[in-house]
Order: sequence, then C-alpha cells, then structure tokens
Amino acid sequence: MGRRVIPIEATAEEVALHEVRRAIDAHAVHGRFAKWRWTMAFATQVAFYGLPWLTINGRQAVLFDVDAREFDLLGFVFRPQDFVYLAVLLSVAALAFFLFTAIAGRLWCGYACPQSVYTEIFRRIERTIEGDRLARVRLDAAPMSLDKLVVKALKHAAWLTVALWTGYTFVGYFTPIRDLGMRTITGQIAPWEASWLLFYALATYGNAGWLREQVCTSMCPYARFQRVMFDRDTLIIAYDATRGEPRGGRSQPVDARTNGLGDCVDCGICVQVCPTGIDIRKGLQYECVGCAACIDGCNRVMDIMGYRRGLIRYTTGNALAARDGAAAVWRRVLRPRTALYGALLLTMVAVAIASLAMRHPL
Amino acid sequence: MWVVWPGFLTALAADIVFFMLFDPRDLDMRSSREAVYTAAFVAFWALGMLSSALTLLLQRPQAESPPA
Repeated sequence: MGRRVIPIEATAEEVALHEVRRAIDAHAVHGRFAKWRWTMAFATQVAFYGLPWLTINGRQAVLFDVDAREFDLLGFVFRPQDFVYLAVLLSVAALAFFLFTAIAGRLWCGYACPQSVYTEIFRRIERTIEGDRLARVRLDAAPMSLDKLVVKALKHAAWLTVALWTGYTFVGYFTPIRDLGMRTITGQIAPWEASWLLFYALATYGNAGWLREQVCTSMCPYARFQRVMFDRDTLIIAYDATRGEPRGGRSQPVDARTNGLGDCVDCGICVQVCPTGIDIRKGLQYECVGCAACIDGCNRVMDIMGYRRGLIRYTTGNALAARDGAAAVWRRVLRPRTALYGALLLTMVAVAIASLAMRHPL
Repeated sequence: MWVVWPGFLTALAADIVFFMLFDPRDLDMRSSREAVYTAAFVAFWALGMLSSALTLLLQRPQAESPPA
C-alpha cells in the first residue's frame, strides 16, 4: 500500500535566525600566490613562536610581565610611567591600519592574519594526513573503520599538538617562557597560566580546524567595516568581466572569439578553490578574504588554454573600469587620502622615536 | 558561536574597564595580578554568555504556537 501524502500549507514561513552552514572543502591550489601565502605563514609563525625565546642582556626580549608591571620589548623596558607610549602605539597602529587598507585592501587577511595563517597550516596538515580533497570526501563518506579511526585520530593529534604549542607560546609572552616550560613539566604551572594555555590552544584548534571561514564571515569585525576604508583605487581581487564574458565551455581555444565567447571557459575552478566558497565573478563581496587562490587557479587554466594570464587578478576598481595596467595602479597609490594618512603616520613615528631616544629611564 | 563570541568580546571590554578602576592587588592580596585578571575575565565571560544565551532563547521562533 502506497503512502498517502497529505499536503500541508504552511501558515507562516518560519524565518531561521541563522544560515545553516554548508561545509566548504576547498581544493588545494598551487601557484605564485599559494607560495606567497605559505611563505608568509612561515615568516609570521617563526616570529611568533621564536620571539619569546630570544634573550637580550639576560632578560627575555619580549615579555609582558603584568604582575611586576614591566613590559620588556627588544631591550626597552616600559613601566607604568611610560603609559603614554601605549597611546602612541595605538595611534600608530590605527593610522598604519587605515593607510594599509586604503592602499592594499585585504592583503592582511589573505597573507598575515592569524586566522588565515593557522587555517593554512591546519589545512596542510589535513592534506598530508588525509590526502587531497577527493580522498577526504571519500574518507568522510566511508563507514567507520579502524583505518579511518587511525587517520582521523592522527589528524586531530597533529592539530592539537600545534594548538597546544601555540597556547604555550602565547602564555610565554606574559610569563618567562623557559620557566613556564619547566613548571609545566613538573606540574607546578599556575592555574591562570594553565587556563590561558588551554583556552588559546582550544581557540586555535577550533578556529583553524573547524570554524575556518566562518570566523572571517561571521565573527571578524574587520570584514564588516572594511568597506568604509575602501575606495576605487584600493587593491582588490577582481574578475575582468569585459574580457571574460560571455563565458562558456569550448572545445577549441582558437575559435572561441569567432563564436562570440569571452576568455572565461566557465570551468568553475575559481569557485572550487575559494576557502569561503564564493564566486569572484559576481564581483567584490565581503566574504572575499583576498587569499588569491582563485587567481592561481584561473591562471593555470589560462595557461592550458593558451590565453593571457590575469583574467582574475589584483587590480583596482578604477583600473578595471579604465582597462589600465599595473602601472596605473601604482601611480594612484598616492592620492589625497593616502598622503594624509602617510603624513600623520610619519609624524607620529618620528615623534615616538625621538621621544624614546631622549627619554631617561628611571 | 552566537553565545560564546559576543560574551568573549564583552568580557574583554568589561575586564579592561573594570581594572582601569581597580588594582587586582586591592581585591586579593594573595594571588598574582594575572590570576585576578584571569578570574575576572572568566566571570565577565560567563555573564556575557548568559546574556547572549537569554537573548537567543527569547528570540527563538515559536514553532508550536497555534495559527492566528
């Protein structure tokens, strides 16, 4: 007997508060910008993991000793009476941030933000242990077996190791790191140290292993207000629609133009490699973290097709509209907005350096 | 995420404002400053999370309500 289906008319559409997350498992991509991303991940993490181990004149070079109210910074010691330098530092940071964003857009997000860097590291670990995307999808779909359990356990163990080391390093900025190591081993770690170590480790593990692009699209305040710092001369990643459209598949690269097609072969690589799962061809979107994975992906396809690279490229709104090249982009780096930020920033830095050089430590 | 994260941000702000006015040493002589900062942060975080959780609870769409 067949099931009878009784149609029910919904009285009112229930509006969900939050979008249901669609898991994004991006393809790995190789190319110039992927290399840059990994280089930057390496450089920032060498600095982050290494700095607390540096010693100058027998003192830890970077140590924020909150209890003693002494901040060690590369040979300088700051005490409560130097509080003004914190204000200077914040002003310099804010101005540098405005200037950088106005010129370079989300270069920070793509290459230097800890969220991107740890995601990059965690994804690389995942790729090494579980294999490429296809192997991962197969593994996830497979029923639980001893093999799967071992592979999954290995991945999480590797992630947790990196995360715990990150947490340990973080706490090492606030309490002498060598001492902390000894006390961790001997079990004499203070509760506040242990709680921050575990919290930071858990945050790293959760953000880089599980949340990933959600941190950028839902949690990050910068992603939301960056648009007010953008103008039409800000560096963005954009799809050259004039060159690419009308898009479409083709069998022979040569006869595409005569068939009235643009350079976009509509292969979808740019979408498949995107860590936030957007289609850059729809234009600038706030989800775009500026990682340039789509540029690498598209350039490879352009090479195969024998087309010019840069259908998706770093450019600016003005350059794209005027069909200008990189030279024009560089020329417009200097404009009233950036000149003002630059001048203020230089003044601040000069004053800070002069004041630091002339100060008499108590 | 909608509970833990706003709570975290609020706790950060609350901790800074609170300890601009009070020295941890005045509150607890026996513990280090970091310990007091941490304990207060955790407490503020718990409060922030509670507030966000309540908002979420009150905002929940009423699935069982009879049609009007």
